Amino acid sequence: MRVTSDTKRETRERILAAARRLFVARGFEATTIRELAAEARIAAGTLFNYFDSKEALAVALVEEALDAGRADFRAKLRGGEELSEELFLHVVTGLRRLEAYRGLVGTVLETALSPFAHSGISQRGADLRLAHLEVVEELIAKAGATAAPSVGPVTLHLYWTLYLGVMAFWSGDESPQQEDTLGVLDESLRVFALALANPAPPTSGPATRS
Amino acid sequence: MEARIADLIASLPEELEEPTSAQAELARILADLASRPVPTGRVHRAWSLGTLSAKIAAGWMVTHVRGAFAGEEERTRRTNEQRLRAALAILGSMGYMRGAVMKVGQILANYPDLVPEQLTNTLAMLHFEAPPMHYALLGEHVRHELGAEPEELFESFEREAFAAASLGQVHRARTRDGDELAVKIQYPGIGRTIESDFKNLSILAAPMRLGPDGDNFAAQIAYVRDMLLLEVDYESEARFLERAREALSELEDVVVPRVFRDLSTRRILSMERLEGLHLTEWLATNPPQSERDRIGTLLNRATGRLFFSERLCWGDPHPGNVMVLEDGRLGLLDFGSCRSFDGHEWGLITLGVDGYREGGAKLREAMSVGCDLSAEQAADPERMKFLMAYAAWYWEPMAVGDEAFDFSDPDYIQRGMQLFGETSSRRYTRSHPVNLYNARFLYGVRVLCHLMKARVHAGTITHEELERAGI
Ligand SMILES: Nc1ncnc2c1ncn2[C@@H]1O[C@H](COP(=O)(O)OP(=O)(O)O)[C@@H](O)[C@H]1O
Repeated sequence: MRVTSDTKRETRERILAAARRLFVARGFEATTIRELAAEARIAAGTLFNYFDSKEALAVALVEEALDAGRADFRAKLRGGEELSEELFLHVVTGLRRLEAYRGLVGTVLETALSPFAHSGISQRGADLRLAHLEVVEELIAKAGATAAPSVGPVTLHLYWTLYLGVMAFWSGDESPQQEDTLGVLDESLRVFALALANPAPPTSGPATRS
Repeated sequence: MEARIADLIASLPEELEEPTSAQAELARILADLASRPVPTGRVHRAWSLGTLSAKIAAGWMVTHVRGAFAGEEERTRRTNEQRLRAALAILGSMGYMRGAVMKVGQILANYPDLVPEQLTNTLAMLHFEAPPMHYALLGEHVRHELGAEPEELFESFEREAFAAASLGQVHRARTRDGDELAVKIQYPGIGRTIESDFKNLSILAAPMRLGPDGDNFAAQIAYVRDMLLLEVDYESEARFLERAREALSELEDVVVPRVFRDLSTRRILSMERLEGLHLTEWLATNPPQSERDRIGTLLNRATGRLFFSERLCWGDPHPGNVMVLEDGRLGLLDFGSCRSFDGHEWGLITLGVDGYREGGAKLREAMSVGCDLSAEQAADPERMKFLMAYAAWYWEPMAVGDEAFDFSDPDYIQRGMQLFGETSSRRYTRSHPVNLYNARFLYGVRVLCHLMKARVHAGTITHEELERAGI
């Protein structure tokens, strides 16, 4: 049977829809590949043509949610906000879209977003990271960031570390409506914006003077 | 206005002769802080000032407790100090979230007797230092609390706060029905943080036995804790607002804001917005004597009505909480730290009223019961003389009969402050919370009247309100 790209896209979408339902209803751990395939009305083997693991499915869902969050972010941005507020809005619109998947964010952090992730899944993770950091870079550039001569890899790495930390915190946040996450995110981003605005003075290199 | 760290440190209570380990710890923390550059960023500064006022609050506690240890067994003393060290550690860590510790500072600042004036001034400034929540944070927080974002909930909602609150900030908004609101919003998570910190603190403080008058310190901590726990719960503030509004409904010239329950939660309080001038702003317009008398009279009438008829103590009499509205009415704000007296507490108050009416032995009895004195303490003539002087000061404005009492007299306020201070430094009273609330309330209202240089028929008002309440 010839599989057109249309059917392919349609099957992929059915699998994702099945994952959305089952992961949310039963939890990530408790859901099996077999159940996912049944829910999507395909053979388990076929599912592997699309996603090589349950984790890859989780990553795809998170990616999808974050893409939608990014669109929300663009729509909500009014202009004139301070950098820390824009960064906050960027993260929080993503979290909002992720709300239903809070239970599987931990898995995604451990697999795709871990610095030790294996290649297949880490490619998705790298894409996800890139898409997120592009916005961050754009926001920083827009803010002028006059005091920070260049947004180098260290700056972005620092940001990414904070971001993953906040995500990890959020995935386990037991406070009512995860209100503590809002505080942690706010403080993290303020600290980051502050670090950008007041870069450490250059340290004098070794042996420059006698 | 920026508080300089050096000023704050300079205004710490004096070292006691014999440094304790807790004091050494405090000294170390302070030295560490002093050696750091004063941060300039808005966020950063607020954060470290929060931490610093924690240290100052701790310093106050150390001194307070240390003084009470005199004559204690060495072993009891060590146990107490260990507890104190643990309490210090908690206080020190409380700076990680703004607001909480500033609030402790503010409360301490309301005890001019306990801390030098300079410290009081500096601490009083701190509550204007809270950094703002930006709209993205606020919108998300409101959505969590009320299920929708401000623009969906209100006809309009101003993104910038128009006033700071100790635990958050206040925004202007308009409802779909056209009501103009002040929406007070707490920083997310801060309420729970304060609750748990203070729970820990009072668990630590509870078993400390201090000096000859026993549980003074634990009572003070419990008092601070109770105040704070009330203030973090905007639902409790909403209930007080509603009670007060109802109780004062007959007073046409006094306004307590209406609460909008559908738009309020424990962390968000939507109220009718009062438009006018805060007391200090109003005084800056140089109102004539007759106006100052009128507002002072309304203030005495309203707070007296709440006190005697509603058994409600308006907790935080402070120029920022009094407004003169555009139409000349008196507006009362901030019912966060109200106290509703229970039966036992009310008994102590009516006993005080009986003492005032009958004088002599009855007044002595009221003072000794009210201050929870032992038979031996009540027999101490020095102590009794002092407490009677305090009672005389307390009732002085009422004792002038039908005449107006002139609150502009600085001597009256100074004597009050001195007595207020000595009560605590001599440890003449066991501080039943009712005394603390009562003293803070009454002293606060009188200071406000003094600021206004108001002449008020306090005796007539009090007698009428007592009669109205059937006391
Ligand atoms: N109903 C109101 N109408 C107008 N202004 C208000 C109202 N409620 C609060 N505010 C403003 O907000 C400030 C802080 O409010 P307040 O209730 O005193 O906060 P806190 O929680 O710190 O006690 C007030 O000093 C006042 O300027």
